[in-house]
Amino acid sequence: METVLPNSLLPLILLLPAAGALLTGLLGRRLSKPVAGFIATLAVFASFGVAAVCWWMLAREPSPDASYAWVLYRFLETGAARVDIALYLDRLSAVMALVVTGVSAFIHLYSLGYMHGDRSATRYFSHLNMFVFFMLLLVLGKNLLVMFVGWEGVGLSSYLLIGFWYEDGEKAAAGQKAFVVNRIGDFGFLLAIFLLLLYNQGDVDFLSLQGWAASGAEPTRNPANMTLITLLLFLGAVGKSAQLPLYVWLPDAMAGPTPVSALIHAATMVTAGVYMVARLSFLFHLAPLAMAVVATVGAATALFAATIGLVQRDIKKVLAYSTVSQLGYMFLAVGTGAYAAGIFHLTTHAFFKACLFLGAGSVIHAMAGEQDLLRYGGLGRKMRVTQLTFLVSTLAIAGLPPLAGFFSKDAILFGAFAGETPYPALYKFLWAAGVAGAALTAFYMTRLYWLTFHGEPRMDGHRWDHAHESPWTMTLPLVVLAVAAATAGLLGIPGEHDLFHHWLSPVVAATEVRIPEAAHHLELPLMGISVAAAVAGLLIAYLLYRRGPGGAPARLAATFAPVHRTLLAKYWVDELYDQVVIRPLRWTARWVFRLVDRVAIDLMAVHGSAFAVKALGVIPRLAQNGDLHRYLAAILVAAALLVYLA
Amino acid sequence: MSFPILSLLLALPLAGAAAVALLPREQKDLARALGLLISLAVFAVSVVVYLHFDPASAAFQFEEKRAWIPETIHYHVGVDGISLLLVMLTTALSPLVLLGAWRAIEHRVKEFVIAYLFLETGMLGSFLAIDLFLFYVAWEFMLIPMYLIIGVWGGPRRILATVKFVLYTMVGSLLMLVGILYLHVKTGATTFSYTGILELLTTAEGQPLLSVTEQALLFLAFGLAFAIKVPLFPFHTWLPDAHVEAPTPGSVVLAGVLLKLGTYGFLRFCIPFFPHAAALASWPIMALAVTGILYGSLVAYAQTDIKKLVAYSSVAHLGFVMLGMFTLTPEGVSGALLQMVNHGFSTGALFLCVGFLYERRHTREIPDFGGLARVMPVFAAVFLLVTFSSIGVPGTNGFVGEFLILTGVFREGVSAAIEPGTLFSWRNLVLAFGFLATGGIILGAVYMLSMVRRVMHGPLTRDENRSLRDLSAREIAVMLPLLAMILAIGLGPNLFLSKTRASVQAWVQRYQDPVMEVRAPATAARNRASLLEALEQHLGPAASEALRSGGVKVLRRGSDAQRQGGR
Amino acid sequence: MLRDLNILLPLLLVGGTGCFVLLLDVFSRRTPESPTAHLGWFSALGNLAAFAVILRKWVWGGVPLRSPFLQGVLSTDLYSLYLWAAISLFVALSSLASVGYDRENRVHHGEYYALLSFAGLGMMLIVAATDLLVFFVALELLSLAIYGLVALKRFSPRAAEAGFKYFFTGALASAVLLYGMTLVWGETGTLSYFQLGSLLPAGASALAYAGLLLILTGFAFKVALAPFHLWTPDAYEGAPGPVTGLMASGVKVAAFGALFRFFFVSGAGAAGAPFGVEPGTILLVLSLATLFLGSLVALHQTDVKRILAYSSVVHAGYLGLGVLALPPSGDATLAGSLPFYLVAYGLSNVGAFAVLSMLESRQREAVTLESLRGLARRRPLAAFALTVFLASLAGFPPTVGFLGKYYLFRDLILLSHGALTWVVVVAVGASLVSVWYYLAPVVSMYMKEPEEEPAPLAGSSAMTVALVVSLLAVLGLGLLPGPLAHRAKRAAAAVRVSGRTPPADVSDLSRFAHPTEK
Repeated sequence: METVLPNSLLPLILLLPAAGALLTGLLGRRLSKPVAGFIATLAVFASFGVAAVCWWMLAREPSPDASYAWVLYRFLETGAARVDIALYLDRLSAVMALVVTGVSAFIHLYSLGYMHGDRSATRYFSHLNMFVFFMLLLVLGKNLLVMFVGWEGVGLSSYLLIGFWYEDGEKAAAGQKAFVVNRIGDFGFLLAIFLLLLYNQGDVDFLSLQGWAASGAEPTRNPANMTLITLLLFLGAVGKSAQLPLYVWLPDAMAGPTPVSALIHAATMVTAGVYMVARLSFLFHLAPLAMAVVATVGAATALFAATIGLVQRDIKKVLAYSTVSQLGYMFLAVGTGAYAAGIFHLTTHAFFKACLFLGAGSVIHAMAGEQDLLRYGGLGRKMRVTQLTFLVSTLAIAGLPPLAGFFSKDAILFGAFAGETPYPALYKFLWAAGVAGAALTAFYMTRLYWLTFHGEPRMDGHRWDHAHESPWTMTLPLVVLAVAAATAGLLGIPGEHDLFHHWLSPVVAATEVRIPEAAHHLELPLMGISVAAAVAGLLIAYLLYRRGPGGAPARLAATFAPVHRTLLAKYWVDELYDQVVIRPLRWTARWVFRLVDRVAIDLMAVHGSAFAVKALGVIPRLAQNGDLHRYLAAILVAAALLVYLA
Repeated sequence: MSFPILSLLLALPLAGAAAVALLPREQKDLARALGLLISLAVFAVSVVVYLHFDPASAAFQFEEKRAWIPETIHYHVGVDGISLLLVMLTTALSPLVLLGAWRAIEHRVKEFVIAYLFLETGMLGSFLAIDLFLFYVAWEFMLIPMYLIIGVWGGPRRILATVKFVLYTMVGSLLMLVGILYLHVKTGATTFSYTGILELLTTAEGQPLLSVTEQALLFLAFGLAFAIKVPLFPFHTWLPDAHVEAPTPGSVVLAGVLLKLGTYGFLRFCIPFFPHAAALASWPIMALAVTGILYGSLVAYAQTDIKKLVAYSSVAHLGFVMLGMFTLTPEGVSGALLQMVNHGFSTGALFLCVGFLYERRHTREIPDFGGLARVMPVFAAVFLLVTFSSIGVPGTNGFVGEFLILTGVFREGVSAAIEPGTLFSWRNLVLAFGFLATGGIILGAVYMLSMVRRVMHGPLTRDENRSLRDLSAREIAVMLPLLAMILAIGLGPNLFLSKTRASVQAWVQRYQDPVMEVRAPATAARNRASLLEALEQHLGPAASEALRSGGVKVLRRGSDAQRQGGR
Repeated sequence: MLRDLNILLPLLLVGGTGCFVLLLDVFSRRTPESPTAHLGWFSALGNLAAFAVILRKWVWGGVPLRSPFLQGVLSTDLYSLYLWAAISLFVALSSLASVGYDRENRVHHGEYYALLSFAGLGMMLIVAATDLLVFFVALELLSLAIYGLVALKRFSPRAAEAGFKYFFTGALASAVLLYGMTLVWGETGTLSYFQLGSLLPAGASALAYAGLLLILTGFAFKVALAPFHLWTPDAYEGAPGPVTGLMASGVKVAAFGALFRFFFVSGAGAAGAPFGVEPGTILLVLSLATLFLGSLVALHQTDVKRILAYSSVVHAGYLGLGVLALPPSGDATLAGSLPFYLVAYGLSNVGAFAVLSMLESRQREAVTLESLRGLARRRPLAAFALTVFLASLAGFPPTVGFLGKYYLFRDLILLSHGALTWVVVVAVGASLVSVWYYLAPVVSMYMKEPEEEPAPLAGSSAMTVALVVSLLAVLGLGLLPGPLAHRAKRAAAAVRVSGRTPPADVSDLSRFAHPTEK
């Protein structure tokens, strides 16, 4: 049985960034920008330190299922509902907390350089700190409500940061799009919370929910019921983690400053969905159908987004679609039941994708805002550190041994192939999709890398002269993350040395997919296949783009023109939504207002009745024409009438 | 507490009005300052009430009772957990309204302050009155100053708007008068006291005094008045006109407090007095509430006038309140109660913001703005926070209210026994309502955020906007308390809910008291049948058809009770 | 003998004031600026004296009230006292409102004030009359005085027309009334309310019944129940403002007071009808019709006096219902509603017309909504007062008018045990419509500015006094109606105490009830 110990350090992890946000936010103008940045960065590093300490304490606990909790105060108490604001640190949230604070810390550092000279840098850092706070609330929340508060909080910060340069209408619109699409997901999440709240007598604490799920109470035994709840939860995850069909906001979210893209839209926030599924694995465990849906959506997204990534020209867009695709892998993992693998990939992805984005940022910085791959080239000569770190991360994400991506992705694919699932055929199929995705990943990353750092410069002269390596504040994080991306994999070497899996097992063991002993001999061949796929993609890309984008790629695009156009246009999904959802909504709103509200209700019903009353008055007025004879007649007639009637 | 503190609360504004009346006409600022001072004093008094209020008791507190009009009518006031928060809302908003109106009202300032103070007494009187006659007097009395505020200080189409407002309101309130008289007579013409009538409404045998037919008709007589005030779709069309034409302070107090009188009326009178009718009516009313939520949001999305947009958003928000209330669950009711207060602060703040813009640019058309965040950063930040509260982002008050309300809805749905057969069982209906209402939250984000984007973000298109001043110290002073409340309720709702818990529990209990619960199966079936035929007579088959599924609820409650009784 | 005179002292005072004003006019020298002001003040004082005497009787119970009195042709009971007080007050206020008005509108003739007092005397007599013949004589005294007053603006064709119409229609109504009386007398051989009261309920012959209906018609004309109301707007519009005020307050109070007593004492309200339909039912129908015709037509008026004219028609409808709110026999604690309503309504009207009198002048005979524009700036007090009076007529709290409606509706529901609720709902509908036209003047006064330079306003200290007195009364009684309500009840009770208990009781009322409600 779990042993939950109080730990008063937990609040500190959140409160440090919160304090930073408030300080920089409220003092605002009165604070010089470097100071603001410094405060913010310091706050996050400190929070990283505290998180590390907590993790270390947890690791030192004798019992492996030990976990920490801290109740701040009673949030709600009405009728049956009782909800606390409380924090919870177990082995799972500890990993998340470390990843979040760690990556955030270095990205804050990076931002010091990147946002240098921006007029609103103070606002930037305040928002960034606020994001870290909410993200930690999401991760450390002890119950669904706190998690939801963090969940919407990060959405809020992302809204503010995507629209950070709001003078640009498109950027502002991108922020709004992100928020609204996330709201659609949250709609599901919220519904799920209500149902759980009521099934579990007004308590949404994770532990009590776990107990309820294990108790085999009536609602839990009804698979349809659990499938509904888990799918609603997953809807939330789909929104937050940009899976099909709600992924559309993430590519637009690249409108924000690049460090934001790195932190929020690659490393941390978008992975919240994966964390949520892992956190609530005890619920998903009861709904195998929902699991299958999760895995399928994940695999589909992985493949789908990868294909779009093949042809994009905007460096950040490529990375964005790559992120969507990698998130797909994570959902494939948790959908299989390989939670450890999923979280592992989440971690490694946080490192190399953050590194890639920061690298891209460094390039964009050097190219004075230019983001078009076709206008890059040969930058490696000018930006050595960026190039090398970028290369490492590229190989890592492509999944070449012994870099981090290889181990994590392999664990996922192996789980999908060999796991004991109710729908083995389906999962085999998903595995194939995953492998194909791996090949594509290798292809577009190599393309990206090559077009950026090798070949002839394709930008105009003064841009080339202006290009330079970034300051240490930016390169240091690159190096750190690259090292992490290179080595993190060693935490998860398959077999009994799988430290990562070992660390998480107390949390996920109960619900994890079983992998039969017999299957282990398959591990090496499967590895071989995926590595082969990756290498293939890598080589093809190299051969194609060796001489720059002009020759072979162009011919290829020409031969498969329709395919190329489709991919370039991202399958016209945005256009589709515009036609099917947004325009009809506007149209309905306008006409409901004009016809129903103004005409039907107000004009006809309200003013109509008033008019009718007034119109009635016309009739008796006819008698009232001032003609004396008529008056006299009326009196006599009426009198006679009375007598007659009686 | 022997000191007549509630009378003090009611008398202060009147005395203040008298004092203001003595001021010379030219001294505008003096009148404003005096008005502000008085409203602050009233607030201070109400704070004393709040602090001395005993949260453990569900009874009326600080009660005062004096004979007023011979035999049956008393000056009888008191406050309980249901009215406390609303009283606080009224007294807290008043100083802000007067301070916010400092520049919005430039002519006949003295008269305005007087009118407002009268209005405040009227509002407080309606919330504090225990005697139904007193309540009606206060309720009607409020109409006159509001009528003048819109009609004298309003916009170009103010006269149409204000006449519409008064007539619309009178339609309901006159019927309510008949209802009150009928109730008074039926209970032996001995008392107008709320508590007294409530007791008399259950006979010595514990049977309801009124037949379900009577209940239904009385419910309609009272309900119409309140539904119009709320406003419950489709009785809402007076609202946009009144809001758009009213001066900023008028809109703030209209949205902030007056609308709450409708929901308060349902909570205080309609449901406790006529429980059977309420049970039967909850189906259609929840349906209308949900319609209001979606409809209001949709129509708000079509507006180009910011003020109109906010007005329609009120329809949606009040829809949530009604929805929560008619779940008749503790969560739903306390959520509704909290949401009333939330809406008061959030929408009040929104109208103030719109007012600030209007004072600077003398337009409220969204296309006339754009990119204001660059020139008015503080204003933009404030406006954004208020917007978040209005669309119910966690951490703000809006979220808590909606969360509780929807919890109530789903609780009602989940706990409902599965009605055999029909797709339109009570359970499925309520779940559908909850589903749709939750969907309404998405729409809220859509229209509010696109408004924010078009007003605050994007490039500065208009030259007139380049020179706009950011918020003045006075304006910030007005907004800060509102923002503070938005966050306070958002982060620590329990602080405020704790004051209401006892009363809400008692309220819910009373609604499902033994009479309803234990004897329901037999009586409910009979009542339902008789109500349906009565309705066929009075309203035609359609209405009774609509109520039929609602009737399921009474049966269901009954069967539950039986089960409990069995144990 | 002397004691009898003492009982009649109020009447003597009012009548005496009339005669004395005539003499004073002859023997006093007129000042050009205000030729007849002193007459106005005097007539006001005379009537106030009567008012004071009545109050004194009430406070110290002065002399034992005798009823029946003078061989039963008059009842000087509390009911009479109550209405006498009201009437003398209204006459006094109208006299005050006339001071200054008379100069502006060239009605400065001594007989003007004399006629006011004589009209007052007539009113006081008809409410006390308990014999149809006395009633008729008193009615004629009243009517002739009013005919004269209405047509007093000799130079004005409008006034002439008004007086002419009023006279002819009035004459016709009197004829109908007289005919009815003859029928009743021929059948029953008596005109005394009391004796009728012992005969009618048993069951009236067809002819007597027809007679009753014709009498009812006569009443209906005097109180302007539809469809006998057609003369009202023209007469009100043409008559001098203060006179209109008196017609809307005093005359109506008197007529309804008399009708109430007649219905009550002679038991005509529930006269055992040969063909099933009691006069009571007919009165109910007429009242409801009046409510609707009146309010609907009023919506279309732009002349404020016409608006108030129709408002008085509508109120005739309410009062008609009030007459029906008969208490169950033996229960003297209820049915104060009609007397209360009469005073509430009268006060509001006197005040309202006092304000209008300020606006009326030779230059501007018609007081239209236009001419009210911007009054809130020029005469804040007058505007506020008019608003309050209109609110009172519309029945907004906290005015006496609201309480009038409250008592009326409550009694209707209470005495019929809820059976008449539907009637109340209908009545409420009418007052909803009425809100609409009562708001119109307020809109003009407060929310609109005058287009052209407004004509100068008449005004005098006397007018202001009249205004303030009625304003204080309307608000004061609105907040603390206790004393008035108490006296109203005792007055209503007195009517029956003075007569015999009428058979009319709850069951009769429930007979008017809506079938489905049973």
